[in-house]
Parts: sequence; structure tokens; C-alpha cells
Amino acid sequence: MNEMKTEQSSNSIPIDDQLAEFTDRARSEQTGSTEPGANAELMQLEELVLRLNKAFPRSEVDKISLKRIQSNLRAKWQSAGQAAKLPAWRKWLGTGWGTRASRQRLALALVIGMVVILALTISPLLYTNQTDTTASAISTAQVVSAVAILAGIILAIMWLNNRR
Amino acid sequence: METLSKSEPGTANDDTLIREFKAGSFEAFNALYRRHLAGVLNRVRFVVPSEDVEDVTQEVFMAALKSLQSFRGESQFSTWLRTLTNRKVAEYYRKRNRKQEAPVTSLSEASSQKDGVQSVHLEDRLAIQNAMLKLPESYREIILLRFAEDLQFVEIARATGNNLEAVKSTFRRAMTALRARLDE
Repeated sequence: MNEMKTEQSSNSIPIDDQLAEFTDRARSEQTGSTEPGANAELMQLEELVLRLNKAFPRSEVDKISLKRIQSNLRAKWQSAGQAAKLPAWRKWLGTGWGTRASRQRLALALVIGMVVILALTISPLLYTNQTDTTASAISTAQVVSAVAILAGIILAIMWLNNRR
Repeated sequence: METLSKSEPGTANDDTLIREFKAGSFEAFNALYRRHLAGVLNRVRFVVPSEDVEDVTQEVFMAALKSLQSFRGESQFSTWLRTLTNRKVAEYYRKRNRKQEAPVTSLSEASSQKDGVQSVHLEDRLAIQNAMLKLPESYREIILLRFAEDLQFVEIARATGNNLEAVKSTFRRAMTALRARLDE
């Protein structure tokens, strides 16, 4: 059994070397034919080497692609550099106004701002109306509660939207 | 923020360029980009449909630009970039699968691009790309190193830390497996 293994491995070494040599030659000279006298396994593998060579020939990098990617990288580098200089609130809002995330953050900031302004406007009414009828006091409290619930719903929707 | 590179980008080695990039030189990154673009592009070209090759390649360098600051130099830059490329290719297929698109461009698309010999090559390229994706990682890697990055077997041995005989043996097994996948 051990002898068989030794024999198998010693037989397989030359094929490994021959295939490697053939591949190197095929890649450098772009040879188009298999080695004469190769055994069936080696010949099949050589054919595959030639097939890969034909399907993926050596090609120069397209200069237009090179320039395009290069200018996009430069733009990213510059925007990253500008972002580093921005204040924290501006970073939170995002550097590109065109992106969905930054628009969502801006909308969130606006909603929070509106809720705060609304709360500040309505809350004095709660105290000034204390001497009025119970009905009007309840009505003002209901307005504030409704606004708070509405704001909560808007925030929840935006939060869920952001998570998607 | 951008400073002039202290050394000639064409002659400086990767480590020097990385140091200069970390000090704020975009030109140093540019030199790394020009040096490694062909390798990344060819690697991507082997496993991604041609219409998406440029996008995926750009993604790789965008990711490199973002995370190179935290590169510690524990491995060679080319090895790090190779890992990043493989990650971006995997990400590309994850996104495609999420959109429930076919894993690789259809053959009809290939045959509609150009007639004759080139069309046959395109069809064959797609078949090879499909087969490559089904190979175990180690087999795919050695084929990519030899055919896409055009590394000699000695260089592959050096890059992977294996001896030359083991590399040649793995290459043969990888090619046998690829052939079997193509025959399926």
C-alpha cells in the first residue's frame, strides 16, 4: 500500500512540473498547441491552460478606465479631507447632500426642530389657561399630546426607514 | 492636506509609499494605485462579468483608500490588496444574489455583444467564470495568481509561503478540479 502511494506520488511529480513548465511557456509565448507525447491527463490540462489563455488574453489596462477611477479616488480623497475639517454637526448631517442618508438626517433635524418650536409655543397656553374652563385646559393638553404622539410616529417611521 | 511625495513614486517601494500616504500624500496612493491596478483588474476580470469589472475594481481602491491608514504592515501590501479584492468580489455576489439576479451574465448577452470568434471567447469566459466560482478558495486562488496576476510559480510560492513543489501540485489539482467543473 505504502509502495503504491510512493509510486503514485513519484509519478505525479513530473506531471506537476510539466504542467507548470507548459503554463509558464504558454503565458509568456502565448503558445497555441499542446506538448507532443504528453499523456492523456497532461494533455487535457494543457488544453485547459490554452483555453484559459484564449478566454483571458493578456491585456493592457484601458487608459480611460484608469483615469476615470483615478479621478473618482481623488474626489473621494478631497471630500474626506474636507469632511475632516467640518464641525461635528455638519459631519452628522453628512458631506454629500445628494445622498439618501444625509437627506434623512436633515429631515430628522427639521422634524425635531419643529417639535421643539411647537412645544415651546403651546406649553405657555397650558399655564395661562389654568383659570379657564376645564374643557379648554384638557383640549390644550390633548393638542400637546397629539403633537407629541405625531412627532413620535414620524421619528419611529424615519428610524425604521433608516434601518432598511 | 495633500503634500508632495518625497520619493519618486515610480521607484519607491510599497512600504515607503504607504508611509508617505499616511503622512498625507495622495500622490503616494496614486503611485500604489497605478502599480497594482493591473493585478486587481485582472483578478476581478476573471471572476466578475465584464460590465461590472470597472465598478468592482473602483470599489477595491476606494476601500483601500479608506482603510490604508489602519494598515499595520503585518503582511505585504499586495497580499492585503488581494484579500480586499476577494472581499469586494464576495460582496458583489452577495448584493447580486440579494437582488435575485443571475450569478453571472447570461450567455445570450455574450453572444449578442459580438459575432464570430470573440463571441465564442466571451461565452467561454462566462463558462470559466461560473466554474471558477464553484472551486474551493485555495484552488481558485492559485489559478488567479498564475493567470490573472501572472505570477511565476516561484513568486506564488514566495507570496503564499509554500514550497515550490507544493504550489505546482496544488496548481495541478486546481486545474483538474476546474476541468471537472467545466465538464459538468
